[in-house]
Amino acid sequence: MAMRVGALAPPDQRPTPLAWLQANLFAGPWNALLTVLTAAALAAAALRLVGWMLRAHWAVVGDNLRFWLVGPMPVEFVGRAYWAGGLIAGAALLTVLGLRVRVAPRVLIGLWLGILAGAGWVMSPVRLDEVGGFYLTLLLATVGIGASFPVGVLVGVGRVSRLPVIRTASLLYIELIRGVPFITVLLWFSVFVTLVSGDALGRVQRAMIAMTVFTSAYVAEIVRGGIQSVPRGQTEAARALGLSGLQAMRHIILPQAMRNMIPALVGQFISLFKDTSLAVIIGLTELVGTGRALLAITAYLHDVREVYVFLIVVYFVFSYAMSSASRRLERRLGLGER
Amino acid sequence: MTIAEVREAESGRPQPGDSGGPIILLEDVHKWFGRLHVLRGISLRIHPGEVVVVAGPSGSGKSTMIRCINRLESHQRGRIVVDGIELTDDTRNIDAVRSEVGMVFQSFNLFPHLTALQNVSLAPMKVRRWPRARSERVGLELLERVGMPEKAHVYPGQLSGGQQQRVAIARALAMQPKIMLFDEPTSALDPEMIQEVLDVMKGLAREAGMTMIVVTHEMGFAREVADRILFMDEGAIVEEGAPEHFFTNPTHPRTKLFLSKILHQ
Repeated sequence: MAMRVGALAPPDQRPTPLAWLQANLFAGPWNALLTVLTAAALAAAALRLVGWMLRAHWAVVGDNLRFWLVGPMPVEFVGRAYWAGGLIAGAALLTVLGLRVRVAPRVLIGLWLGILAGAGWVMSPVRLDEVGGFYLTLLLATVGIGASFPVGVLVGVGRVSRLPVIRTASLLYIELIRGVPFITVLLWFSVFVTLVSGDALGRVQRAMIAMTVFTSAYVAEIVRGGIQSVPRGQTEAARALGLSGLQAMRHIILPQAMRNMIPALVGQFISLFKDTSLAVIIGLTELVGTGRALLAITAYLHDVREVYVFLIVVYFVFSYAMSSASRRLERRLGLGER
Repeated sequence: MTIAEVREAESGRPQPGDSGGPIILLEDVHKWFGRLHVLRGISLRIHPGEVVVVAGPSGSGKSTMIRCINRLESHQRGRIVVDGIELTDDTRNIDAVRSEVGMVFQSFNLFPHLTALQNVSLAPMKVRRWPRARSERVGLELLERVGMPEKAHVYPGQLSGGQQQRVAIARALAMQPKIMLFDEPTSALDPEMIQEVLDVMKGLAREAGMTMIVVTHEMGFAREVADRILFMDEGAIVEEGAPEHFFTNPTHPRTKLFLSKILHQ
């Protein structure tokens, strides 16, 4: 006999706060003891931290904002640096607004190319080796990301090429670079490349090349993984329609691979952003370098904690912004397509 | 095969009014996967407008055979000539054949990042270099022909299996192929969706006079539409004939066993 069963609301299974406490923190004497001890240790640590924060000398940050931002750049150029920074911040703001109202991506790319050209023109009288601070950190990261992405895609596509020469060359490059630490690549480029390049490449440029060469190998592996995550049937369908291997890659495989690659790619770029701090060992005055330079001044000799707390906060804020932006991108791309 | 027939097959595309030349010719085709001998001397001639159904147990080489016809797999011995073009390692030949031969897959293989219409109009735009407007107009006509014009701007993920397969058929037709290959087109479908796909295929065979090779277990479709049925086992064609012969009077014991299993379940 047919019978309709009405839908019921699910039962409420949330415990009361008191019941939760009892079950999770004070279940039995050992559990209660552990809870009390942990709470006491946390309280003691918090007390000391608050005490330090009240006594901390934030002047090392507040009085030197210019150095934190642009490093030891000659004072007559600082105004230009602020203009360029303002332009880029403006472009970032417009991008966020543009994404809200769903402007065509083409417009945004055009905007960025224009703004970057403008910023480059504003900064053109400044020698690259004179910039520092957050400005240099951002510059290293942006150039590193901007260059290693296309190079990595090329090498990654080469890694799955049917031509043995291209495949082997890509494989050698990837394995060679992944087999050495970033610091050694950085040192190698800052010491040995001058043998060939002479004075043609400044220290900052050599650091940029080192970051690109290093990160491209990892991007290539991510690209390979992304390509191989697209089912074989997609290539077969594309080839069966008469698309060439390159067309299939460009229109069918890479667009799908790209979405699978975003989390790993952003992770790689965040790690590149943080690795810019290693440039301090080849004598660049980026954020960490600025901190160390300030600590060398007598007045700030004892402000080590303040400087490193500030550095941690800056790196964290930017890394977190990148990872949350990528999560939004993933959600947006994930909608309605698969 | 006589010398005259071979010469005819090699003489280029059959002209209009050219009577009798096969559009697909397989001659003693062999293929191995590693040490596994999957095609063991397949010879076959298919004429324009013919609908050929290929049946047989799984692993018998049916799919591999039709995948060789548009070179998704390469054969290692023998000859395959499609529409007057011999399939060799020459990539120009392969591209030429692929744009004459449409293929429909068991798992649809629609492009999930493109809408139904984009799926259909991509190849004409990129391979035939048609302008977007023309490609989309033809794409819409084809979506209408497979009965789903209202789904043009929907992504494959939002379509049912049967709808996806119909879009896949439209996508293959967009290249205006002379030959359509179907690789178990209904095997991945829920039972209630099989008929809508078969109906589209019947229309294609009857109204458009398309040359079709269909690998399928749908014996009802075979009986109704096929001009010829091939039965394959262990990499060889063991039985071949018109549907009435095939269903009523099979000669090979393997065919008899297969039919008894598939028809009396």
